[in-house]
Amino acid sequence: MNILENLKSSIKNVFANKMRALLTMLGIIIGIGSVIMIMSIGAGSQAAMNEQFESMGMGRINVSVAGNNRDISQNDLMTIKDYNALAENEDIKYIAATYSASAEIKLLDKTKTKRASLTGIYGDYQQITSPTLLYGRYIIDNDNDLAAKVAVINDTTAVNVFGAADESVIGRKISLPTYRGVQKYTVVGVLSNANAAIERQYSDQFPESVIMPIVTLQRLYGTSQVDQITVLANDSNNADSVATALTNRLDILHRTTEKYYAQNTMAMMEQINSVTSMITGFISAVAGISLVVGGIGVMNIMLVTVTERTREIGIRKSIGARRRDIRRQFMIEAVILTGVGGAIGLTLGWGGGNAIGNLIGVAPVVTVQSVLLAVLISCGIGIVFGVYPAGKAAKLDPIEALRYE
Amino acid sequence: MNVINITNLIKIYKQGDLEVKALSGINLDIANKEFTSIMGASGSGKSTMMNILGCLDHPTSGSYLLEETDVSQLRDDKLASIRNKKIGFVFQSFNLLPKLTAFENVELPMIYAGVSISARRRKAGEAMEKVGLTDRMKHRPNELSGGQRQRVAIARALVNDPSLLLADEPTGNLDTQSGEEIMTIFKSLNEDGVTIVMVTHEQDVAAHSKRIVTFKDGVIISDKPVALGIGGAGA
Ligand SMILES: Nc1ncnc2c1ncn2[C@@H]1O[C@H](COP(=O)(O)OP(=O)(O)OP(=O)(O)O)[C@@H](O)[C@H]1O
Ligand SMILES: [Mg+2]
Repeated sequence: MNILENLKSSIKNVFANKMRALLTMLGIIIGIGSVIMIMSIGAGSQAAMNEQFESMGMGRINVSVAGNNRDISQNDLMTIKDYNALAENEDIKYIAATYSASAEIKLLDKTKTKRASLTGIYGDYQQITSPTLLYGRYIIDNDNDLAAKVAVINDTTAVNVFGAADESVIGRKISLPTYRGVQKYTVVGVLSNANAAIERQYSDQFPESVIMPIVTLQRLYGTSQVDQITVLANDSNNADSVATALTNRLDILHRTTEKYYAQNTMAMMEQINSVTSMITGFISAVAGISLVVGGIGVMNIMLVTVTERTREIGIRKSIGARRRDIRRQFMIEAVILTGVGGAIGLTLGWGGGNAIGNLIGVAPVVTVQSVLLAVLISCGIGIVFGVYPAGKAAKLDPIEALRYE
Repeated sequence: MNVINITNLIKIYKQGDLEVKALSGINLDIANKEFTSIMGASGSGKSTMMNILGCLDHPTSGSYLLEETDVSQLRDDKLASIRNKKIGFVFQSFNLLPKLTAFENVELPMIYAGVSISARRRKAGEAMEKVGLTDRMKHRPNELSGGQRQRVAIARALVNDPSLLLADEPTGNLDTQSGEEIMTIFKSLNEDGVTIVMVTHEQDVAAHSKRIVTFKDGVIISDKPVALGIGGAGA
């Protein structure tokens, strides 16, 4: 009996009673469906996060002093000297030093101010962050040389401060009331705000953003400190070793041990990916338990089927069916039950993933691997839980089976 | 050549401590192209004999040579092959698969024999023609009369060209008219050279055969040819 004919007659047998087939498959449907749904959401959010990381630049390394304020001495603080030393490293493509502070900024309504995050930059900050420049120019080396009182703001800030984000903003001044009196900086450039969509919704929570030469900002606060050095490695796969080289160099320069901390996007991404994979895997495994329950359901119904069809088995044996013919027939029926259940579960899981993804704003990803896995697992369950009933059918004695009422 | 050689065959059924000796020392030879009836009272061991002849059951002891090979102690799958290729079995209760059409029922033994689809179609058609049911191919068993069902069963039994056709009370569930039709088919099959062993309770039916073997309490008490021209002769 060839496989195709076996399949045809088995499909007929399995679906002779549709309600029973559906109920039998339910465990498998729910199991495969929920695993696919969870895996697609997991893969979807992972992809979204990876995209975010990639937009930050793979192989990006942020170096800063480790520990909290109490542990940090004056000697440990980084300066432009450290920047210059690290810039000698040959495995890096871009390097920038930043000093960050926060201040108030006067808004369009001059009686009101809002929090602003000030970033003083030095070096290749533009290349590393690759922002979209809408109008004017970016901070240049010369601004640092002159400690020029210039600033680059984004379009959101431009609207909040000047009421417009266009060419006319260039050359106008922003005012920051500080402990040294109101400081004015000339706007030389306007960037596009990558997070504009979210910031518009929750504008109160997001500070305005002001970028200026590091020297200008350091002067304002009377410091020469650099609080972060950001590096882009030539080869993102080397990021780990480059990071180590950089922190070692800093330890040597400052005669410290492991005082500096390098955070690299690649490692962070891997870490986050492994966490999401673990969570997805764990929830899937829990959902997968219903597959075992489903398998037991299939076994139960197959045992009932074998008993109900004892006479049929007797007849088939009496005209020459061998044990393996009978076993194969029932194995195929079990695998059809679980396989079809798996296919239905796959479809429902796909749909469910899309529905939930829509709700939480994640585009679910159903990979070829997860589809193959679902198909393999559901057929595998049919085999595992079909073996016993099929074996029982195959071993029936022909005479006794024929006599069975 | 003998199709069947049985020597000192014994069959004991064990039910707990109780032993039922259904066959107690049977010796029987059946030659090629014979048409034999087995008769005897209820419980005399006829069906037990037929099941062993049909390789559906093992004897407790003794030997059974089918076409000169000993099949009395073969393993399950070997017996299945023999049932498939050398034996056609017709039961009192037809034993057709209710979900298959008449044609598909007839095809089934060939499927297990590994016959190609085209050959299967042809041979099943021929077998249906032999039993006069070409107009009932697509009918399911419950859409056929008892006589027609038994004819389908005969077609199924014949389809792998067996050396031996066994029938345990083939007319037991049929009216006289249908029974006669079945006997007509058996006779013509026998004339074509098929060896037949048939169990029956009815003298009229047995009269169609050429030899009557009578069982009583698990032994053969008489073995006579049917007198030519005399219906109802024998035991
Ligand atoms: N599976 C079994 N287990 C125990 N005893 C059995 C079994 N099958 C048959 N017997 C016994 O063996 C004896 C012979 O039975 P068998 O069925 O061969 O009789 P039979 O001649 O075919 O009778 P009938 O004409 O009623 O069909 C009977 O006494 C019966 O009770
Ligand atoms: Mg009987």
